[in-house]
Amino acid sequence: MHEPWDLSDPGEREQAAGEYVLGTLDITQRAAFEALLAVSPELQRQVDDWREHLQPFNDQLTPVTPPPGLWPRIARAVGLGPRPWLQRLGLWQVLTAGFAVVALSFGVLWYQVPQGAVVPQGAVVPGDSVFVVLDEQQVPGWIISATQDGEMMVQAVQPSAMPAGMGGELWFIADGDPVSLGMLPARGHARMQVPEALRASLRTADLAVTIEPEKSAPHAAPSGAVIDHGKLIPMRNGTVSF
Amino acid sequence: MQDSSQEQLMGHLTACASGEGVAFERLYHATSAHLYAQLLRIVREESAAQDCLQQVYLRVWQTADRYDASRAKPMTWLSTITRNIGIDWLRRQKRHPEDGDDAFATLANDVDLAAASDLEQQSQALHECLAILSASQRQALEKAYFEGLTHAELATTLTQPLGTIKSWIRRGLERLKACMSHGI
Repeated sequence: MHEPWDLSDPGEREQAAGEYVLGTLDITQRAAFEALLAVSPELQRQVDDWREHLQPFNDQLTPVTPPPGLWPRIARAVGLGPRPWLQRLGLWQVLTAGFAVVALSFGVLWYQVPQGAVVPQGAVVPGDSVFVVLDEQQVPGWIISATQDGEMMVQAVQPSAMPAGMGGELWFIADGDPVSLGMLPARGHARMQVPEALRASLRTADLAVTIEPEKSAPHAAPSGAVIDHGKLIPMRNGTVSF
Repeated sequence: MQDSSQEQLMGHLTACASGEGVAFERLYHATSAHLYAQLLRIVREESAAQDCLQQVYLRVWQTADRYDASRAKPMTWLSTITRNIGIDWLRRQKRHPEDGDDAFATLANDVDLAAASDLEQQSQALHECLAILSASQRQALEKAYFEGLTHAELATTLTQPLGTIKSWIRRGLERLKACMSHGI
């Protein structure tokens, strides 16, 4: 599912940001990276920096003037030129804003991709979903992504500091009873399987992470403090990039 | 692009955000030749590049109010939108090659010549930070950047092992970053 990369390492994160802007990450790496990017201002800054670092590739190209007929086409399309009252009203922008509001009210803009991201249609595998575990300070600890057939991939980012011998345990709560999916990795990544009987409720179940002793895992029930809880968010085509 | 012209572009973008058509036209005349060159390099077909360029400026007009000068220089922001639209077009072509047969048939004639003359001119005015990359690093980065190729696709296109490609990209990015950040 994923290349073994370690997003808990700052150097690797920075490199991943460069490869993300360059566009060489595969579909699943890109989805995981974007999930983290959405909650990490540090990573957003790095992505911005990489766009500037790579800009010389554009600057080196010899400018080519487009054919003269193109500007009138564009001006007409945005309502400029022949009917100046449209321009004063900024009608196009009003319509666009109106459309955005309608789209929002139908829940179309449910997944906000950071400004300027390269998001080709179909970049995210339909059926994949993701949950980013945040601690109290909103620092991302892990990215959990799941495929429709119940395979989960967990990537450690910056897990909260924990007492020796303790770690984060992932719980799947479908009908009120938490079922342990195992301990989350302190570094690197791990695969986890959702038991077959629970897969049908993958989309609706709650996920929770609690602090538990590593040795006796998996436990029958959670006993430690809760780090975060939430649901997997489906990712699909039709993401909005601006 | 000079800092003074970047400042002018910033002014145009702010005015576009408040719906000023004159500023939009100025922005178009100041930047369209750069963005068109970028699209020609990505989609490698004139009429597709023109359609994409139209989409670029529609999006710029619609989203100028979201331009944030603390996050990107104006030209970088415009180039990012341009690259997204160009690479989206490329990926659609890959998925539905039957729609693009004509385009690709004319491509070979049109573009190889254009590309050859481009390369000649490029080598005259190569950015110093691109000049410090090894030939293989630059080729891998440039192909990825303009052709939307993943590590695995680059390995196939350049007939090199995946590990070699990854290391060219990794080292190339490191050098580029060091040069762009500290001039080394």
